[in-house]
Amino acid sequence: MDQLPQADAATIDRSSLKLSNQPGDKGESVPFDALKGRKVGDMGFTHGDLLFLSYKQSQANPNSHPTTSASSSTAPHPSQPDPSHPHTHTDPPLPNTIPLPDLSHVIEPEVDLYWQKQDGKIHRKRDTNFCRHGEKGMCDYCMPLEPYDAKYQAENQIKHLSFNAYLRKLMVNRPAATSSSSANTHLPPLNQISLSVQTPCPTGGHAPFPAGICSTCQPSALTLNSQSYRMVDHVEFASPQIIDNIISAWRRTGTQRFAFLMGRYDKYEIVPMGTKVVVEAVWEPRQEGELDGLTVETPWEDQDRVGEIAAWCEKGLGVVGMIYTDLTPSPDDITKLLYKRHAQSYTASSLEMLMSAAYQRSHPLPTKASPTGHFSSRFVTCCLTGTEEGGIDVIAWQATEQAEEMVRAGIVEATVDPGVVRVRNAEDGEYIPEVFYSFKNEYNLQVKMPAKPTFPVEYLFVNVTNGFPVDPKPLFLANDFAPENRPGLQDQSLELVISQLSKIVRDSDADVGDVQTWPERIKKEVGKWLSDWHLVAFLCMQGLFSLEEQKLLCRAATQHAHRSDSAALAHLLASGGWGTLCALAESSGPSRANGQANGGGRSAQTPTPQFGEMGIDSPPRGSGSGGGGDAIAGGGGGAKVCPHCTYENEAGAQDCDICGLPL
Amino acid sequence: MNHGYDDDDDDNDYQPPQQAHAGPSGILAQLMGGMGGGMGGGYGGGHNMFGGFGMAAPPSAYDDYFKAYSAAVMTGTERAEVLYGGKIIMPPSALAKLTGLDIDGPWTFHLRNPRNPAAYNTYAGVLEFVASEGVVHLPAWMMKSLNLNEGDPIRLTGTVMPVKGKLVKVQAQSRDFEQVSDPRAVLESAFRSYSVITKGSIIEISYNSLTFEFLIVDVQPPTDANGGISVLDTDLEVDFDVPKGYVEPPRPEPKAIPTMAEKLKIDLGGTTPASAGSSRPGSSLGGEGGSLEAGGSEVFMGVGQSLSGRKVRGKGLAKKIEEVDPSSTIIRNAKPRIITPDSLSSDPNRAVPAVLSLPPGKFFFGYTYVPFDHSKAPKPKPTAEEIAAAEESKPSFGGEGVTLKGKRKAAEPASASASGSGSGTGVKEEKEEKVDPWAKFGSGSGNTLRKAAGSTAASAGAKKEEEKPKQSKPEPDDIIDATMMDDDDEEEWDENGEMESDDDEVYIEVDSD
Repeated sequence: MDQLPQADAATIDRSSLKLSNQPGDKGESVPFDALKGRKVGDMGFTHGDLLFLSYKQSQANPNSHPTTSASSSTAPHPSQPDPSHPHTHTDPPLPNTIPLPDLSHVIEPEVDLYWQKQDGKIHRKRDTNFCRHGEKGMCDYCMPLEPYDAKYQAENQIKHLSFNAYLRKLMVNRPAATSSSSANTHLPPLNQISLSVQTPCPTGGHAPFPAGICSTCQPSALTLNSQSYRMVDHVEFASPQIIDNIISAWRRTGTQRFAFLMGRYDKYEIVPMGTKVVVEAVWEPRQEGELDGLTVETPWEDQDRVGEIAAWCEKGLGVVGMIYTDLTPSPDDITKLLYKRHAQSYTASSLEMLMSAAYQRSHPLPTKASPTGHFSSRFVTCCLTGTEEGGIDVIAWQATEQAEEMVRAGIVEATVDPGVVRVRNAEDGEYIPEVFYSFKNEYNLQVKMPAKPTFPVEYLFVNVTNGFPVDPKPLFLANDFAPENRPGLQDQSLELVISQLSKIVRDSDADVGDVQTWPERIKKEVGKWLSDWHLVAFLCMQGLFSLEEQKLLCRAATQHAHRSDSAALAHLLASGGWGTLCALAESSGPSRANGQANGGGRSAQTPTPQFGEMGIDSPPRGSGSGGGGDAIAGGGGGAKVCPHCTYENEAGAQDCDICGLPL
Repeated sequence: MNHGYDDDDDDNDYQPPQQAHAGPSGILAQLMGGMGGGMGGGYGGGHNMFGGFGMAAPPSAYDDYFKAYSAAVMTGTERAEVLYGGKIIMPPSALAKLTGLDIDGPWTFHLRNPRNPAAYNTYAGVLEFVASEGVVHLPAWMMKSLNLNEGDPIRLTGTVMPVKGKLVKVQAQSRDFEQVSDPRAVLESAFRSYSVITKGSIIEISYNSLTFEFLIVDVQPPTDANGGISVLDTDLEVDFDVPKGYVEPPRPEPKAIPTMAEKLKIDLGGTTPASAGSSRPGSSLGGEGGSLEAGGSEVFMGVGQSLSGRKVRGKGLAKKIEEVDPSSTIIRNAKPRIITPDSLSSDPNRAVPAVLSLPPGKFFFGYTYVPFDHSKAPKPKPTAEEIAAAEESKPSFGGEGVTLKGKRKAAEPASASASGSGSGTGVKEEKEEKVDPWAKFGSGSGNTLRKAAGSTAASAGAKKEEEKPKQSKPEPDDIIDATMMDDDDEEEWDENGEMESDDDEVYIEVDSD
């Protein structure tokens, strides 16, 4: 009698166990606790009597059993059911009681919201061949097409549906959005595949995975096929300068370079309901380049900070992808590059494909179309590699959703053959589902092949087009400041900021230390100089500016793109942080102000400081020598200040009169 | 040693007036020296008769002939500074003469081979005055450079080295000297036993019981034509020329920058078998039989008992187990076999590219470069215009028409005359041709038909007759032949049907055909 029911022992409230001789609530019921220590005969039971056990669910973890928790929320007292529904306990859960995940907190990107509002239809002109009606009429031949129209895709050589068009295609099979419109919007059309064993098994019939497995909890076999949709249709680089900057690192060192793409999403009208990535800037994380590879800091330490600064610059600006070089000069002609990635070798190696998938997994796309609130990713991978003619070109791609899931489940691994991905052999305590890939064989039949041990990497590949806009409107205008994390090659430093700033200001009679004296022209130029992503990010990370001032700085840098922010620069120039910067600039180069006071600084510029300012070859020197370089520049008209002992020598002097060191 | 000296003395045809010369001049010099007189310009061609008046005589006042012997023939222990040095051993009389002339030290001499003074001359200092009278001992290299044999006459003239050497450039005559760990120190210590160095001479240096030859390539500062410098009390710099026979070793290739593939030891050609733990045994025909053979042991040793009561003995050596044919595909299933789609679809032992597992954050691009092959590239699809152009250039009916009659002559001009309208005429022609044979068939050769009708009993006879008309009249017989063949085929079918009922084996054969 002491053997309590074992099933669901964990979830039921033991104090609510009641024993009854009638089902439901009709018969007399005895609390289970009262039976302790009593014998069967005492209670008036005989062998073969039918007893009914009723119990209440434990309220501690309602989420683990959503079905009952849902009903419990509607019925205030589940242990005392409504008399009108005497069989509440025994009723199977109705289909509509399946809880819908609460996706209200999911913030979708603006481009998706935009497309959800649009009908997205492809409008067509009157067909001159078939249309037999007037200009105002419409018939089958000129009626707008659905965004996922296959024929239109084939005609326009669009390989993949855009994500939003794909969603439309999935939703088209749903009943018309009339009365059940709420259900339509709430039932997410997308389903994420899962390739890992569900532990514990939902049936609860056996021990969790390594000990037992059943058809319910084991992942089903995966058939790879080329993905019909793509999350991003196009990558647009706001200006060629962005690419050039990355290549410049390779040009100087010969080692490969990596950068994260900072950009935003926008609608892409060329493809129905298309989405494009507009790359406005790049962030080069800490890395170690090599001739045939590179190592990127993993995880990316500054990710949150960089994302924050980017978002200040423009709403929606963030990390959208990565770009890296794979450039090898041809041994025959080192002015040309090897044409490595072509139809006969590979486009993206298996290693890169799995890397892309891994990065995509860390940047999921928030969407309400998926029950989990996110789906796949819009993270794009770009590779700068040699073309057939030996030039440099961009290849952009994404890994498929299947690739992401395979990487998450850890069932694939890269191989030394770039065109081939391996499916791992299962180790102990692992379950690796069957993977197949389907293709058309030589008899033009669709066949499936087991993907063990290897399958072509193309099954994980989604091509993304790329290009530059016809009329570039970059968010960041200038490109002179040194990119981050290029130690030894181009160092970022406050001295570089100051020298660049004072160079601009020096072109006028203005005083570097006093913003009030700057003419409007200079302010404009400073504004343009400030509109440099690397400079903005550097200044924000320096701690020179307060949080508010950092935001102001970001807005000032991009004010040309936002009409409402036209006063941001003026506010910035009036801020305390800017004053500190100007004071630093003034103090670090007093000679500069001196030279300008005499009005003869412009003519005597030597190439040395310019080199420093451009960050070419000579990393910014210490403040002393920097000042020395500028002293030459500034000393054209007036006295030359010795950089070593600060004695003011005559203008024509070569060596200092006091300390004898060269000026 | 001395006998050599004597021999040489005797052989020498040139008799230098040693005694006669040295004697009086020495005395005179002594006299003069004693008088303290010196005469300034005593540059006589070897005559120093008037050398010693007043002040010290010029060094050239000393001029004498000796027999030259190498230092090796000297008595006493060998000394390195004598054997390998720049100084010579002179007789005591020379010392007397030199002191008599009151020549200032250090004494240096211009050594000349009297046979060819211009070619063979060098400078030397003097080390000791212990040689036998009339004899000087020279280091071997000096003998060599003066082209002297033992006992040859040599002329010594006192000289003064006005120039103190600054730099000597030497060239080792063999590459062995490269092995010396500190050649500069060796040379500097060797030059200590020199007082004069002559440009162009080949000197010898002993180091570690090895003899190295050096050519004095150059001396600085430049001196007279003979190129002698004094190295006494000087800071001499030694410069090395490239040793003789030295070949510049090829410049080593610039060391390649280590690539990631090398650092991480990525083997780009690496492969692993598709399934490491293959369930299929590698060879189904294991070597168990082999072991039996090798042992050749007697397996049936006991005694058997038959039902009839006879005792049966073992036959001795076990019979060799019959070997399985090597090409046999028998699979021993001693072990359980697991059949997976893998093992069925492909050879499980085929090589699969090895795993490339890198630490996170590492990108690798150093895969084997596959050059783009244009010949393999798919040709771009021709555009509609190109297709149209190709169509135009190609004549639509370029071939030859063949009529049933074989009237090619008639067909050719028709097709050649108008290729565009050829289709129309061609059809016409064919119609005409078709009409002809049937007309002939109807009118002329009915005999073949009759024969065919008569040949129902024996098809073989009909076949023979077919051949005859072929030779005579090809066209109409062709047609008839076709009908006859049909008849034959039907007959064969019938035959087959009969055979089918008769014999199964035959039927199978037919079926397989």
